[in-house]
Amino acid sequence: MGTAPAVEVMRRTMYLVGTIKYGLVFCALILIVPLSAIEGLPMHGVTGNLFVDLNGWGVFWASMFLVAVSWSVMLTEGLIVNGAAAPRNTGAKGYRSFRSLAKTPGDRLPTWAEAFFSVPITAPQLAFFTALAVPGLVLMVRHSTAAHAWPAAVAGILGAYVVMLLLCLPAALSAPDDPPLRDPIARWVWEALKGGRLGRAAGRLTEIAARPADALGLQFLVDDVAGEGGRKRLFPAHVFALTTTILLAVLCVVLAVVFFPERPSARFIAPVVFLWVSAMLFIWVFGALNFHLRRFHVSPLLVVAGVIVLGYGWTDTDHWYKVHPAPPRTSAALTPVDVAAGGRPRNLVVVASAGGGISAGVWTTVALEQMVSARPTLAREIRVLSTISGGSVGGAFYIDGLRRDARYMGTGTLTPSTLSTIREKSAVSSLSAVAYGLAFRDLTRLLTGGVYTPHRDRGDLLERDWERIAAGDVGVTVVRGPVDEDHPLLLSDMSDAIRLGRIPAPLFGATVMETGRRVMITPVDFGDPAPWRGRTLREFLAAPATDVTLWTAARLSATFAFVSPASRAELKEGKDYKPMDTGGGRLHLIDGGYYDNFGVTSAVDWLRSVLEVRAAELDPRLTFTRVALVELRAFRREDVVKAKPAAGYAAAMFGPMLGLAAIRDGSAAERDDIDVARFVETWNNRFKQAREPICLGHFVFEPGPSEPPPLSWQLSREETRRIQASWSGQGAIGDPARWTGSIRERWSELEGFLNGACGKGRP
Amino acid sequence: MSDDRPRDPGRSTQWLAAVTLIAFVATLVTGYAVNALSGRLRDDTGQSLVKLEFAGWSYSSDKVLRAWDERGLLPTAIRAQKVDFFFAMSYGALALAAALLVWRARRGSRTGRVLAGLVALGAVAALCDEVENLRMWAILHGRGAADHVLPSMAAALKFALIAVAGVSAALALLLKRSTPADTSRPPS
Repeated sequence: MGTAPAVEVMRRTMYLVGTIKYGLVFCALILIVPLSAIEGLPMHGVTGNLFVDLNGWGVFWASMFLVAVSWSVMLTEGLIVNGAAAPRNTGAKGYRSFRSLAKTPGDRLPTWAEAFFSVPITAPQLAFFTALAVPGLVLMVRHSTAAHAWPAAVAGILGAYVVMLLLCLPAALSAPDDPPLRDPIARWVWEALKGGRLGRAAGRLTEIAARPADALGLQFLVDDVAGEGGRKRLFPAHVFALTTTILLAVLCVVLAVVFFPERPSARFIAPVVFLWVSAMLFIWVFGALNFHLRRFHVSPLLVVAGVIVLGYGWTDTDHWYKVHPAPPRTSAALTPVDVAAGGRPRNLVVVASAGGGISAGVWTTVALEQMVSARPTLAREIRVLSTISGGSVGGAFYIDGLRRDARYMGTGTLTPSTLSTIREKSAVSSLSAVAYGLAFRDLTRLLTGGVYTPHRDRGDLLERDWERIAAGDVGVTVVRGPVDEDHPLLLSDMSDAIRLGRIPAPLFGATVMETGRRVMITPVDFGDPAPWRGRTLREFLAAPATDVTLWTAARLSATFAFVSPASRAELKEGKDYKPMDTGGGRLHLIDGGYYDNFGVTSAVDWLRSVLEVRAAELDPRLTFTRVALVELRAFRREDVVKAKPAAGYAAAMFGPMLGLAAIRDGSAAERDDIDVARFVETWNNRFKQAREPICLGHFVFEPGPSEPPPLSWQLSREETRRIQASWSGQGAIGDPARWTGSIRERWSELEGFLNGACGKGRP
Repeated sequence: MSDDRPRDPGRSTQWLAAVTLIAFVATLVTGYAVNALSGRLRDDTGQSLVKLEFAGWSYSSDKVLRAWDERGLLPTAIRAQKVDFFFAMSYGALALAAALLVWRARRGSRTGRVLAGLVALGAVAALCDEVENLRMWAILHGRGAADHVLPSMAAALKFALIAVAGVSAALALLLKRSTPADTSRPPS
């Protein structure tokens, strides 16, 4: 640049930024996403646990693919910068050799940057892009469970380098004077292998590859005179891009087959690897689009969006949840009164469990384990579990676990290990299934505009994983069991056990994406629709003789944003599934937390149905005198006064969106508090005036102040320990004296209430 | 390697670019982490790391530490402090690399030498920061709580040196060079 003034420096720098803008975004992601492993940094609760507790194999694969992602950015951006450095006149070639770059720098990019970022790759360039992976590598090794994590990471990096050398080989041998990789080791390898049969084969490959490029009118990729005997050949760097893309496609297929979550080999790989593979796939596809579309000044983002919108519309691609025909009824429909009358309890306990990913699931099972251990009759007193999102997953594990305890189902006495088994199963990571589904199923589906539509998506894989965990055995770790394809556990299959009072009735909350209304997924038949309650799934689908499995219900309730896809109903007909067009079958269901993240609304709906009958003494089976609404919240509800004020610019530019997002939590919290208080007060007054010995109480169990637990489907060992510790000291199962302060106080109130002292909640 | 093969152009320039970029990225990354962690402290308690740095003069360190402890944020403060060690190393390295770049770009000129020296003061600032970090580390771990003057002095000096280095780097970029040599093209 020499005498170039600051303006010239700025002009060239801005041109560089414009050229590699997508690469900069990818680099930022490579750096920042692994940083979320540090507690307290943004996104820790969502992606942080992808990078912790990896075993030796996990560190090896994760390191290999992390470096490969970084190098993918280096190579794709290298080709783009090389193309950008080429002259712009018509017919100009899309590649400049290393000699050309060195001798005659262009006038658009900073000179140092043209050589530094362009293909062929030099040693400093390789060092820089490898350094981008260092934060991720350090964090993965530091948080690994393996004794020899550093050797595993180094082996992973070396493995990635060897693969890159192999990928470069055809290009390097076909053009020994201009290999795509120029670091000292690579140059030594090229020198050792040059010439001979391998070189001729590589030369032939570049000539063969030139034919389709020539035929497609991509002359800018073809070197007209450099081939043997003056034959045309593809520029070596683009041969390299071609071989890499082909290998990446093969690699994706191999990984997708070998590490399918239901294969035993899946335990050798970490979920984060799937994230890196999908990132690589996206980087290469997007890089190719960017390289070619730059010539026409077309945004690759626009093209990707166009492919998705048009492709999905044309192929009618969507995500689905499976609806089954309900089995023939052997008894009458399960009404809310049947549920309340199950076991004729003196106390009616309704548990509302809030959402919050796997943390909410574990908080639910920890709470139920502790409370039922302290008061065994509570297992039968809890007649309803009204759950949302992660709370639904915990609730599903609880119900499934009770069903698997043959002693309990027979005599009503719990086997000692049942509750701890339920808790341990609920803490098992399901992130691998989601990450696999995202990388190998749904991202490819998205990028192909739905032309490639695999049988199972990430939502389906997630619910199958939960089912396998539930069916598994607990030892040192939880060994997953098989999925029962022939006899799936439908919600209506649990009706008899609910009616008997052995298990509570689930009310899984979901939200209709298009209308914002809620849906209760439950085996309970509420009877005629009423304006004061939400619709059940059967009412929503306008298909009374249908049902879903326990795990589908939990998944629909826990359709956490982007982790599981919003999905539509498809009904089983014979062996196939057909899209449902009746009722709300064409609408999508999403997480129940969008409407009410605390599960209180459905609980109140059910309670009202029962209390109306109890107050009018219409059913002699209803003999309860105490009604406790117990809320389990995995996240401490903070004082709104302490809310962090938004910056002025954020309020000016995004105020309405920020407000809408805040309303989701704020209005639900406030509305629930008001509704519950009003409900409890109204019914207490009503029973008091009628001189009925019945009273209602409301009890909330939430952890004390600490780091917020994660929202994703994986907990680190430390986080699992912390969730348990926020309820009680170590080993204090069922011993309220050793529970933490606020929990102990709430429990004392609840137990006093259930034992007859109509205290808290009674006006 | 055959002699007719082109050698990498300006190999040392390329390595200097790599080192500068690595230091720059490391500064951004560690700065982002320190800022995010420190932001949590500030948002939740109103007490930031900077307040603890200047506890020797204006603020009570006990008040700051108690506020963090009450909210269970001492581990976050320690984590932020740990990353701060790397942050200082990163911007120190960046200052040295930038000084070298300035010196090379203005080789032979007195202004160039002066500007390069001033930019290199960023590395001295990093040294001050590391001294301050060591004291802060001790304070956060409940050791040497009485000695708050050293970190406060080191922090004040650090900020002053960073300001000088930053202004010098900006001047090096903006001031027209006196030597008219065009280094964008290699010598024939």
